[in-house]
Amino acid sequence: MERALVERARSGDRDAFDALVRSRVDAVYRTSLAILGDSADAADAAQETFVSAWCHRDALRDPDAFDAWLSRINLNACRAQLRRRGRTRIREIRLLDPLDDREPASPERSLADRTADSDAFDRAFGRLSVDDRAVLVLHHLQNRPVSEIAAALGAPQGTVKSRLHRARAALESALAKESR
Amino acid sequence: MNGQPPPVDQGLRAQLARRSAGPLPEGLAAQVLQAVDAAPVKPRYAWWAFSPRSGRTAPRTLLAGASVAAVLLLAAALVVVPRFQTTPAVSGLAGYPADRALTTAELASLMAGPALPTNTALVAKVTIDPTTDVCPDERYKTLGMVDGMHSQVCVMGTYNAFDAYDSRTTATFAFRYLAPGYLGLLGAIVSPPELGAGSTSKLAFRASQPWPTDQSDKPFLVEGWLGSSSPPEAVGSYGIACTQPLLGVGDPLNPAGGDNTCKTTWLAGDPSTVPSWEIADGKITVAVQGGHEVGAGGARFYDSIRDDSPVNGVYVVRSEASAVSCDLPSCGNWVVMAKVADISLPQATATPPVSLAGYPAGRALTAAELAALMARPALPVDTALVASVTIDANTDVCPMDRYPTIGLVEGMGAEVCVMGAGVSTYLSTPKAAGIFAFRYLGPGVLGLIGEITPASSTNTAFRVADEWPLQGKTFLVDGWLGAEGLMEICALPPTPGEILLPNGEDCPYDDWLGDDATAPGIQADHEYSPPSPLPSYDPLSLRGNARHVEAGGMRIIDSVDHAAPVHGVYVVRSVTEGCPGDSPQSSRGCGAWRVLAEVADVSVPVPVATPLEVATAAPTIAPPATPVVPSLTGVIGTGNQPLSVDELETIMVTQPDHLAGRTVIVEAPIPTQISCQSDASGGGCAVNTKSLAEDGVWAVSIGADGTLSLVGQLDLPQTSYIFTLDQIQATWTASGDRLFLVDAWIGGAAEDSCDVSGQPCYEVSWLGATPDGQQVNVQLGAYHLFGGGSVGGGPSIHGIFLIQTKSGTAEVVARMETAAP
Repeated sequence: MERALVERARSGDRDAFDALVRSRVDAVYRTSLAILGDSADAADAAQETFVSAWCHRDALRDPDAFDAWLSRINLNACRAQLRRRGRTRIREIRLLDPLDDREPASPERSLADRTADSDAFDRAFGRLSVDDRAVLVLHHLQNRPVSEIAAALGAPQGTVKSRLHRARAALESALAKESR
Repeated sequence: MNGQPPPVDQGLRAQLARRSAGPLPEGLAAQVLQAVDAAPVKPRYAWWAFSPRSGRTAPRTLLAGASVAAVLLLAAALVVVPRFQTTPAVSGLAGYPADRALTTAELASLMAGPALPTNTALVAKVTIDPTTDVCPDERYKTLGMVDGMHSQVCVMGTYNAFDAYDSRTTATFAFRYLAPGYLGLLGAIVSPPELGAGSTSKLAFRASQPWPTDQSDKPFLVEGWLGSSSPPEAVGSYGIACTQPLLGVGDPLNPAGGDNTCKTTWLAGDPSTVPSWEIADGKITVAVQGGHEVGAGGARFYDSIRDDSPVNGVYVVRSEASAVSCDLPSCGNWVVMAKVADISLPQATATPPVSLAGYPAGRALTAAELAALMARPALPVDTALVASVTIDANTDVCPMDRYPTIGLVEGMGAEVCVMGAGVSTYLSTPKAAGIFAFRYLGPGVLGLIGEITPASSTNTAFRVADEWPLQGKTFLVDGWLGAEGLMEICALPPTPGEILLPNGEDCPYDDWLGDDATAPGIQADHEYSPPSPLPSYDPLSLRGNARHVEAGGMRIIDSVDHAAPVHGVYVVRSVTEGCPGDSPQSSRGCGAWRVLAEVADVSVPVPVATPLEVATAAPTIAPPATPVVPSLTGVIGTGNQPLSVDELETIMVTQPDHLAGRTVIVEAPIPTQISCQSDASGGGCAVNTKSLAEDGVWAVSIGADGTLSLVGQLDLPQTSYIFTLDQIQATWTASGDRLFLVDAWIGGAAEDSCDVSGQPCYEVSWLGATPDGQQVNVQLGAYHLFGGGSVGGGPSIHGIFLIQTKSGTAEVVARMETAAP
């Protein structure tokens, strides 16, 4: 059923494609939102994903791989969205007083402790590359199997595993910087 | 890395769920469908057919001719265009504290010279242009480029971006030098004349003058003595009780400077200043005669300013609002951000002449040619180069962390860092000599594409019809790159230079590489029409005079158009990976040839014979010297038994280096020295039998002259000499200091907390009882140093390791090999 819908969409059937959009727009938007952290950017990325998918539907070879293909386009759209966002001009002022007696950052502090602060988490997550963000979202949030993540990223499964470790380490490092 | 992915982290999952929560924007689906309606209609070709075939063939030939002409024109242009600009004449000593800022020409000269120590603080009057940004470093925010430099000099907002500019801004700025081509901005200097009363004609305030109190974070310069004093007992602990520094070596640069405030620090005109403390109404007040109390912990740390005696200099100071609520208008802090370095500028140098060389003149660049190329004005970002050089992973002072650092190129005039650059490629040894393909990322920074497998001893590049290397090898192919179809998968292709993904995984639509400008064999693969079944063929095989390749990512980065086949020398890699849509159980894999880059046709300046000399008295944290690498492989007897002294003597005399620098496992008694000489008849050893230890099994280090020294006595299991990791864990105590041998797998994976100033970017490492097990963490870099694996991590490696535990941490001392007496 689903395969037939994808095949019809690929052959240019707008009704079929519309049905695919309606069934997936929520997931695509939420993935974009988790990666980009901004609802307007996420909506733009979602729109761009489906427009691109429609325009380049001929590039889909295997109808069964539609979701992986769409995920990949979505990640490219997120990447483009971040590029379009341009140089971020952030003025960060850190206030520090000699009487500040907070604890120094501890490497033993767990990731869970560090992730408890939503603002710090968002800032730390924002330091990661899109690929690192994507792999964390696909694995830790969406619990997708490595094979699916590999297909979505267009990377070998071994690479996905190492990226998962690397992305997590990068996040921990970024959180440590935020907690200093 | 082998093994399982990490388990789902519930804390992380909750945060990501929060990020992606909330209602779907109203009408999003309708907007999407509307946008799809409005999308431009593109010519549609079925992916399996050229259409219209006749229309593609004819213009392709014409365009190929045009392309050849364009390449020839470009090559001709390269002969004359890239010339060195004359380095501006800089006479003698200058720089701060000569009462003035460096000029643009002086800063340019300084940045063109050999690398300065990381974190050197500079003051220069220059123009920052935020509209030109080709800086690939994203550890810090890019603020812009410095105008008038001979090569690209990027200005980064370091840990705190105090200033950001929307247009070209000329001012006197304070910087910290981060790396060749990179400056970290501390801020635009507020000079005394702008402040009205109390100003002087000098750029720096005197310590005794009134300082700016607007708490605007704007830095200014103060000339004076930086000292510190402990408060009297009646005051007690004032400031942060520093039992340990808040910053460690390698922590991110925080030029805000407020960290590490342990004592009462002051900046005054007199080195013998003693602050006075008063306690009234529960408040502590500090008065500094002829100066001010300041916070200077961060500056002390980064500029290595001792706190046991006052230090004279020019300091970058800023006023900062206090975090503590205060009803007084003057409530705030002065924070010392940096001590301005006393810089000697390089002498003027003549313009080096330019000659033509480089690929594709049939050979890789030499180290001297690459050095000359890296010393010239910046190349376009992503330019692909092939050079025969040595990369040393043991010396890493690269402050960039967008990509994992792989090492430094040896023999460059200034530091040239090699970064992973998104390609899963690592050195086979910590110090690797060979032919490498790079992408130029910025001044002083190259991205490694891979080590090139040459076609033969005489030809570096393969022809398409040659047998190409498999198993993940990277190699060069001299041929024509053509497109199989107009298929795009990218939502928006990245702009060249912006996002570097040279692995070609982006947009892997199909292309071919051929020995000629046409590829009838490839076309024949597609000569069918639906609904006939898809043809099947080996995607790695030679199809007439061409092969199917994936070159989408490379086309984007190198701006290679699909319109017509393009002749060039291409970096290609054989890849085997999971096929899209495979089930998790499938191990079939899909093979492909992936084009990673088109090698640039570069002109190379004549190498400069002697690098410029720069004298600097900057008391900064100097880059580490090339370490003397001890032998990482220890020696144990057959059957994993300790060596007797007789066996050790026998081995020593047969080894050319007599095991100098090695760690050996020996059963006591341990002699003091075994001096061996080898000759045609085998040689012999003189043994000083004075005993270092009478009992037990010991790890012993052997010196250059055969002197033995004890590393430590081994902790032994009950029935053998080698522990299993489970045995170690069962007897593990955090406080127990032990030395033991363990049979384990060593694993490693890249980590992110590297690449900060002076910190090598090594992988996190661990020991496991199995290839996938992660049971005991060991020191950074142990995986590649002792496992022999790649820098940055890779598959786990089995071995017997000598481990030392101290205060709950485990460190690999050596990986053991068996010596046959």
